[in-house]
Amino acid sequence: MNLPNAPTAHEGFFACHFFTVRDQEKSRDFYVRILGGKLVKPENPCYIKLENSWIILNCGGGPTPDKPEVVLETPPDLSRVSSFLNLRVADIQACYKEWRAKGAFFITEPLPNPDGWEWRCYMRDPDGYIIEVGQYTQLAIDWFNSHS
Amino acid sequence: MSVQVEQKSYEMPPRDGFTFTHFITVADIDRSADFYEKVFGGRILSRGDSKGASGHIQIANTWLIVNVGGGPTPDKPSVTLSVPADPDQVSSFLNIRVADIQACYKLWKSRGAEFITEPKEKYGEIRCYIRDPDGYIIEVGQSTDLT
Repeated sequence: MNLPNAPTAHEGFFACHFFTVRDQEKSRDFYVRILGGKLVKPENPCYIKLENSWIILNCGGGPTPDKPEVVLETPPDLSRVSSFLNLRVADIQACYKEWRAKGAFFITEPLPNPDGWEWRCYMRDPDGYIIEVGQYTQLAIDWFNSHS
Repeated sequence: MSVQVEQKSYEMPPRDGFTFTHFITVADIDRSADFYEKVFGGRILSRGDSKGASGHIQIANTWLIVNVGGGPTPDKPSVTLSVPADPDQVSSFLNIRVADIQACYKLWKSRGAEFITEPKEKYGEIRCYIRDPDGYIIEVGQSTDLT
């Protein structure tokens, strides 16, 4: 699979991650300048190509005819989370240092997870979304290799 | 299993840089893995374990990582993970951009996906939404204004 610039599929489909945001310019700065995404479309919605996928940003609202019972809003309670962007990295210390130096807020430094599978830390984006940054341990890498 | 983007290959686990994945908190890892495998043709890499490891499913260009709720944990001491408390209040979601929305709607519906409505035209695209087993919305959209 080779990904085009914009997430327009000519066959099959591409999976992207949508965020409801308050300020598209602020979010754009975070995902482009700090995480290194490529701006594809600036606003309403904003598309940012980031590695093997795309971030799609837009302001809240609704309901709309295609989801008549659903309202989109920025996270109302930052302490309760259901889904999030999860970045699986090769070198968590390097990512932590680089993204922090560029202004990303991290909740903690990278810590070993008790399950033995990974080291993890979490960023907060400008709307307070958590973004997991995780590096698999050798135990996990060996498991994946033996099951692939 | 890898995804090729230009000259770079994205793998799980990643060998360099980083790989972009989507995490959802689920009530039942097996039920969710089966749903994403069956509806979207995903490939299940792992179903997690009793010690807390997550399930991994490759879907098109990305990976879905699923696990049960819990927390707080030392790396996020103020955050609790749970399935959606109110499925009608949504902040972020999986957004699937398709080549042929009518074909996807028919195929995925025939595989058991529950759609909120049929595809509708809106703002230069045609869209509809699936509810996954935990009530997450998944946008299915075909853009008509991007090349």
